[in-house]
Amino acid sequence: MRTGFGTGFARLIPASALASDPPGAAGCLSLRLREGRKKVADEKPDIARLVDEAAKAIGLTIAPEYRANVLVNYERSLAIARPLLEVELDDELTPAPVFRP
Amino acid sequence: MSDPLAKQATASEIAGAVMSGKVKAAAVVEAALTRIETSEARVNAFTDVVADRARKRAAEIDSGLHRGPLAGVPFAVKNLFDIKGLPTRAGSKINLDGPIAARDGALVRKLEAAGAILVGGLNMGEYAYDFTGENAHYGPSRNPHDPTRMTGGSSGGSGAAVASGEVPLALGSDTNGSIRVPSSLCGLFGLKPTYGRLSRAGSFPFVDAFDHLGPIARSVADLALSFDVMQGWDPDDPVCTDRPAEPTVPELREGIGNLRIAIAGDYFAQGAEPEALEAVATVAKALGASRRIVIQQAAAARSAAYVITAIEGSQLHLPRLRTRPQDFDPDTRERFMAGALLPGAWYVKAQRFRRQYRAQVQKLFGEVDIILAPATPCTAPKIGQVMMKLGGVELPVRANLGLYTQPISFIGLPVVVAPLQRPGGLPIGVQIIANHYKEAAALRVARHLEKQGVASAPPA
Repeated sequence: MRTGFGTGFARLIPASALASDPPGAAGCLSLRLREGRKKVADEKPDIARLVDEAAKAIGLTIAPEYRANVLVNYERSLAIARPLLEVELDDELTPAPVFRP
Repeated sequence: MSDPLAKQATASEIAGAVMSGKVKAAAVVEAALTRIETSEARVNAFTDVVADRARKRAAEIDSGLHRGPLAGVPFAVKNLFDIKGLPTRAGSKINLDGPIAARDGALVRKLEAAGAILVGGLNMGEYAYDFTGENAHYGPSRNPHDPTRMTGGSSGGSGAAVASGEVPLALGSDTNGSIRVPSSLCGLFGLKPTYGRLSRAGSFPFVDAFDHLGPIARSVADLALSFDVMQGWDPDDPVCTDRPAEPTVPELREGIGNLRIAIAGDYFAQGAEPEALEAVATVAKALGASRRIVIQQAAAARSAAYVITAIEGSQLHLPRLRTRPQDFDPDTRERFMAGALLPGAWYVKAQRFRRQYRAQVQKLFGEVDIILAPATPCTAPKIGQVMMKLGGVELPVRANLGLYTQPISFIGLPVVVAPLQRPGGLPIGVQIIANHYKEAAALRVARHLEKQGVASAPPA
């Protein structure tokens, strides 16, 4: 498969910007935790800082003339992603892609 | 039957005329090349014309070397398909510095094996990250019904080439709606098959999780004919199904029979301009369909499709974003850059949700065989238009032309777009959605609408 799994920089993003489980939740399978109650950010993250730091982390230089539009698009992505982030999923629901050795 | 040399001629009519000896393939190809030369200034559909190759192939067909159900049919492909001897542009300037294709893409080979003749490569939105058909490097493809308007994208050249009558058949790709959106805005029949049904080998990727290839044509018979010859397992595409080919041409005669047809409500009935909903109502009435169903979580499905697309597509292009950002189309560059920075957790959640959503929709297909939905929320916007009003809300054109297509390709369902011509107005399409591997059912419904005169391609 030609599947990409993102850039793996999640820790650089302020916790309030992420739709992640609380720390440790992923390991507590027996508790069958639903996703964290706080599924989407209550507070708007500092998008400019987030974008600048994340870009550094993956070695992507964003020239000043591109930056404003990258911020617009990042903000748009946060809005479009919201309905997904609000969905609750059961722990046993694994991703759709199947790797066949 | 139209004159096989006329621009309105369908692929089936041309093949019939060539096989019966009524016309030479060479004459058909010359007529197509002349039309391309005449129309290009108006529609900007082609980036590459392979005239010598097409003439050579036509001569071989006329000498009896190749026969097949598409004998002598000129066709063109979105320029993300490999064409032997050319760089695979994928709508970009960067790829011109890449390798020259050593062989044709798998589907080009299959169409040619059936007697069709490739005449060129078609314009598209850069790297397929596009719903408009615009391209900063090669200019926008233009809607033949009104050249100031978008074709829709990203298979914009495919829509323009067929709607203008340059060729009767074109191939496009559809990751989130890129066959269905131009089919709707250019008023053509389009088929996005089941995910994995047709080989993607020898095409430039965008989002592996959702990339599909398929035909755009002026008749349902042409969709079925081309789809049938392109089916079959291909070890060069790991996603390609090993199910045996299921010919759809014989099924077209079946009519709609006992197919249970429903209209998608809720998400698919909101946020559209009146003409999009009227088109669905017209089609439903012609089919005698009144049942409304709700595809649960369609908004989240669109959202998840967006997230997977942004992250996978951006990851694919990250090396080029690092080294050659100035060579990207400005309209894709900053979207790719933003996508490269999105949280990986979103991607995994979107993939997990995909399974849940598939199960829900599969359950619906226990109750119905076909679901009708708008293909686009509006008719073709103006070229260069950035914002549009949908349901009274101002929204970006680029992100929203695929509002109704994304939740469907997200789980790989097959869809035929049936075009409705609107006297005095621009055309618009309706999605005829079937369960996985049931392309024949969607084609049968489209054929019924075509026979009734409800759906049709416009006069070229």
